[in-house]
Amino acid sequence: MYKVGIDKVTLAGAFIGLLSLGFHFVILRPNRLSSGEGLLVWNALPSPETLLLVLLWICALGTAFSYRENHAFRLAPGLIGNVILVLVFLLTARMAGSTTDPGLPFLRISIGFGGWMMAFAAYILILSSQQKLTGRGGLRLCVSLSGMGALVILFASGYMSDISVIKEFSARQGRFLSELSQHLILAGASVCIATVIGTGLGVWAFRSRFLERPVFFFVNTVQTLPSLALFGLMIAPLALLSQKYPVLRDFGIQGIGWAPALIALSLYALLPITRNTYTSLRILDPDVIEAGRGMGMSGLQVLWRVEIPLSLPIILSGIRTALVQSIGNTTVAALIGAGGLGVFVFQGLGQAVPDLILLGAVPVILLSVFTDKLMAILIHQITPKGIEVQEAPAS
Amino acid sequence: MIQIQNVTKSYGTSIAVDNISLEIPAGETCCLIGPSGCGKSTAVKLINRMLEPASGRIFIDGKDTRDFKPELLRRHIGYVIQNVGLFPHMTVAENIAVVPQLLSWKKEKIEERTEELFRMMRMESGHYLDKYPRELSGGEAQRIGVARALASDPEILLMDEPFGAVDPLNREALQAEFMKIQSNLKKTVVFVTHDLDEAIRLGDRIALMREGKIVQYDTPEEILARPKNRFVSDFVGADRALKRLSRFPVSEFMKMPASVKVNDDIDAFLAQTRKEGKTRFVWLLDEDERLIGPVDSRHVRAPFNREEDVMEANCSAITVRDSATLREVLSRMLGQGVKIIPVIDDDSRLVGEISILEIEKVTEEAALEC
Repeated sequence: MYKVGIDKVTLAGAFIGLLSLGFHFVILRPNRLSSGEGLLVWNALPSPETLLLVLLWICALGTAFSYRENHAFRLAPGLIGNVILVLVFLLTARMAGSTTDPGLPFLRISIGFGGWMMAFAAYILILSSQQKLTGRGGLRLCVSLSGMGALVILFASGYMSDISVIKEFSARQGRFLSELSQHLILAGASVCIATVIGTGLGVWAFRSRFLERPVFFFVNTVQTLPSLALFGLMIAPLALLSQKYPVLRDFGIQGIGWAPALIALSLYALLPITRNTYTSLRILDPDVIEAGRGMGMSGLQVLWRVEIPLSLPIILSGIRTALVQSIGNTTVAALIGAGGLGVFVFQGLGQAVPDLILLGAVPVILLSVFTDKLMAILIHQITPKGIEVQEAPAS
Repeated sequence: MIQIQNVTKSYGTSIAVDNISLEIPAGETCCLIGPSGCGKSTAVKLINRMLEPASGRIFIDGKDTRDFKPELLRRHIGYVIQNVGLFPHMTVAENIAVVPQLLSWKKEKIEERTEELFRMMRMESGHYLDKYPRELSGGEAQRIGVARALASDPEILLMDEPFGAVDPLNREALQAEFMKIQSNLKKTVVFVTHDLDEAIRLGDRIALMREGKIVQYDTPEEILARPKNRFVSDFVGADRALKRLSRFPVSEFMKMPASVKVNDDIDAFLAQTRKEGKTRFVWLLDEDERLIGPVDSRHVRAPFNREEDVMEANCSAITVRDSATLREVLSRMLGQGVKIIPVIDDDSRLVGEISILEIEKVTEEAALEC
């Protein structure tokens, strides 16, 4: 017997997708700086393609309303989502490639608000499928990655080179790669530092009742400061230091640049790691430790065979939070000259070039999503079967 | 054999264990009991060096425990704690294998031993081995806890209020299983409890502690019959005569019953019984010697009529198992208003009968000893 019901997640996606048809699908600009003119789907695309997109969304809506507990229905939203995701970029790229106007040699074609919204709605459909395909690892991976994979191939083959964002990318390919690696290094290094200090602080706070409050007061306070303010706060003391000890300047430590950014980002990443370390130790059952010692395990054996397997998943989920947060915060670090993908965002803002902003923002979003997924898989793998991972409470 | 000699342990200014000496013979169960905070848990933790004494020495089979590394010492001493402390991230099989692995046993030997333990605990190994602790009930978890402590077949077992957190019904069952296992294995057991009935039931000896000192160390019978001082007699309570009865198994006091099978000549048997006048009640059995019910030889007139003359209805209410103690027998007698009750085995076959007279004899002896 199949249960017929309404699939709420797919429904939300389909609704947003249909709504997106009412917004500009693409934007035509005479050049990269001008504001341009938006086109709805049916103005931008030939009617068969328009019809295809509309039909796909109606299909999605249909599956949402008549959801049954079987594989076809679990898979359907994901398939539709992936197809739409690819189509948004593919059709825009084709249109951009075929639109030439001798009068406008610098014509730029970008994906409009409606286009992005449609891509986002397609992603919701993919997520909806992913949620339902539990226990089917291979199929699940296929659903989550096939569309993205196709887009990467399209991008690599140069097919999308006529879309404005890609043009911005092509013009700055070298710069993009160096800023991307700078971004990754800053975010990664800050989380590494925070992991070392944060786990230490967590253990410290757990061991000493006296230190518990000040430690958490400190990490909580840091977290409440706006990121920009914290970056700003780092400038003065570091500038002073580097003036006093010129040796530091040889290492690149100054009031602006990577050094203050790294310190600020590390401070930000402290809270989730410290909190989760502390929680993981808090919920360790003292009877289990006593049993381990009483059975003749040495201190090191208790640590390796009991304490670490039980607390590592929780500490790792703190690191996961810190990583995602840090990837986002690193964007702001561009403001104090630390580099990273934020450079393009702020350049784009300064020059009023929306596509340049996207060149910075879209990779940051993708990085966050991928890191989050990767950590989720890692945590799932590392968690012993007998225990459930409890996420540390939000505050 | 465990010898504790003049051992003292203090936390800061408070003395938990105050110069105690205790000798536990090999193969016996010694119950440490006393009000909370009397130092009984501390005392047991000193034996496997979970705690180190401030002074005094502890010998196991004549060897000073200080001569061993604590970890190595503990691998040869089974340890069961109140909240079980099974490792939640390990399966039942992995939990049991912990100490054998620490002793670097071979895989086959560990598996063999695990099967043996399950047979001993009368548990279905296939049903449990791959389960995780959170899938077990409290009673099951503690059984696994005991099996884990016995895994490397240690000579000594330390049990720190092992059944304290289990519900009364399960506790009873666990105690019965423990007695059965212990009667086969003859381990040297130190058993901490705050439940006097448990100590009386399980202990070959009881050490009653108060404020870090041992007040009386004796067999349960002695402690109940001759409390050394006011504290002991208060602790064992006014019903100590009744408690003492639980030390006596019914199987040692029951007598051969007069019984007749359904196919025998019942009228002749009853006439004979009346003539002899020794017993009033005759037990009617089926072909397999299972008890059907009592027949009052004085009231039955020939011919015998099963429906009228046998009190089948309340039969199961007045029988006791041969594993029961005199305390249960007496309670059954008082509850049912009878003076004589039949004793049956696990297959409900009649194996004896016991009357209130035998119980009175036992309590009279106690009164004489006082």
